[in-house]
Amino acid sequence: MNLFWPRFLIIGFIVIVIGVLLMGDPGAPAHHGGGQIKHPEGAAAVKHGGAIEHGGAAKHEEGHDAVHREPLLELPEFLPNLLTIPSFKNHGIPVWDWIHVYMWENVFFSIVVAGLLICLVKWMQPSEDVTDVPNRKQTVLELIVEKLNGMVEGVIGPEGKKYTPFVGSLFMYIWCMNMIGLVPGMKAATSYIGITLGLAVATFLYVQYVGLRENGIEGYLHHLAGSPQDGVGWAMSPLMFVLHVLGELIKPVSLALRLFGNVMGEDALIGVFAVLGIVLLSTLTGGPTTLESMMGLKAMTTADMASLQWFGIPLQLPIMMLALLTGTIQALVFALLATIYIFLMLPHDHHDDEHGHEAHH
Amino acid sequence: MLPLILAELDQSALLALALPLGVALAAIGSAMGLGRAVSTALESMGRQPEAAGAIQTAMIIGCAFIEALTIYALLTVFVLMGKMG
Repeated sequence: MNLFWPRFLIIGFIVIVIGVLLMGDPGAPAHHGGGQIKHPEGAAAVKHGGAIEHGGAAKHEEGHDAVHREPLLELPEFLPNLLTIPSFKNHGIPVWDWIHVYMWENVFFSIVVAGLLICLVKWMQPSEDVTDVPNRKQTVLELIVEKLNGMVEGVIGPEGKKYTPFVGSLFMYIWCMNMIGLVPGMKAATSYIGITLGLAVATFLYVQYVGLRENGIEGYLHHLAGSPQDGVGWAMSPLMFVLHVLGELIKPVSLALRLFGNVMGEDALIGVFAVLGIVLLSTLTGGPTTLESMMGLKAMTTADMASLQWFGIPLQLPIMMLALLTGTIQALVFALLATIYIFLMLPHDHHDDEHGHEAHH
Repeated sequence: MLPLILAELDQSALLALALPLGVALAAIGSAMGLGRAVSTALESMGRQPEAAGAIQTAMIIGCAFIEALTIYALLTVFVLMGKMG
C-alpha cells in the first residue's frame, strides 16, 4: 500500500472493536415498534400482581444473562433492521443474542457501507490512465473530489491538497452511513457511540501525526506549550501546556458526541413516531387503544397485540426527511472540524497569514 | 414545607422532575443562540445578496455547532433514563 493515511482509519476501527469487547453489556436490547407497545393494561396488571408478558419477559432476560450487569446506556427504541429481526426470531440461540446485545449489528453495517463505497468507486473509476474526454462516471467522481478539495483548501490554503484524501473519505463515509440508516432494513452505524468514537480517535491520531510531521517533535511540544516567544510566554507555558493537552483530548470527545447524539436522536424519533403510527391505527383494527381495552373490559397480552397489527400510519416519514438534512449537515460538520483541527496544527507564523489570505482570492 | 416535599421524593421521581427541566433549559439557550445567528446571517444576506451562498453555508455550519450543545443535554437524559425505573 503506497498510501499512509488509511492506517489511521484502520486503527480507529480496531479501537471500536476493542472498546465494544471491553464494555461488555452495553445496554438493554432495543425493542421494536409493533412488538412491544406500552398500554395501560400492563401497569394495572402489574399492580394486581398478575403474570403478564411484560413481567415474564423481564424474568426471562434476567435468567438468560450469566452475569447480569447494570446497563451502561439505556438506548431508546429503534426500527428493526436486517440483523435484529433474525436475532429476535431466534431468541435463545446464543449467537443471535450475542449479536444484538453486544451491538455487533453496527459494526456489520459500518463494514457494509465501507464495502459499498469501495465497490462503487472502483466501478466508477476509468479503466485507462488518461483520457482526453472523461466519461460520465469519471466526471461525477471528479466533481465530488473537486467540491471536497475546495472545502479543505478554503480552510487550509493551497497546501491543503494533501489532506483532502483523509477529510474527503471521512465525509463520504459518515454521509453514506447516515443516509443508509433511512433504507428500510438497514441501520445507521453512526447511531452507536462505538463507531463515532472510533472515527473521532482516527481523526485525533491523524491530527497529532500531522502536527508531529509538520513541526517536528520540538515544534510540536512548542506548539502545545502555547508557542511562547518571550519571557511572559515561557512563564505561562506550563499552564498553557496543560490547557492545550486537555483541549486536544476533549476535541475528539466532542466530535464523537455531536455526531452520535444527532444521529441517535433522529433514529429514536423515527422509532417513536413509527410506534405512534401503529398505536393510532390500532383504534381501528382492534388494538390496545380501542375503547374496550382502554376501559379494562378486555385484557390484552403482548402476544395478542403483536398478532393483531404490524402496520401503522407512516408518521415517521416527515422525521425521515429531517434525518436526511441532519445526516448531511453532521457529516459536513465532522469533516470541516477535522480540517480546522489540521489547520490549527500546521505551522502558522504571523507573516504566513498574508500568504493564506492571498491564496483565497 | 420544602423538606416535607423532598422527603417524599425518591430517585425516579427526582429524575423525572429534573431531566425534562434540564433539556428544556438547554433548548432555551440554543434557541436564543440560533435566533441570533440566523438573524445576523439573514441581515448580512440582505446587505450583500451576491455573497448569499457563502453566508448560508457558514450559517448552517454555525447552527450545527450550537445545536450540538443541546444534544449533549439530551444525551444526559438518555444515559439517566434507565435509572428512572
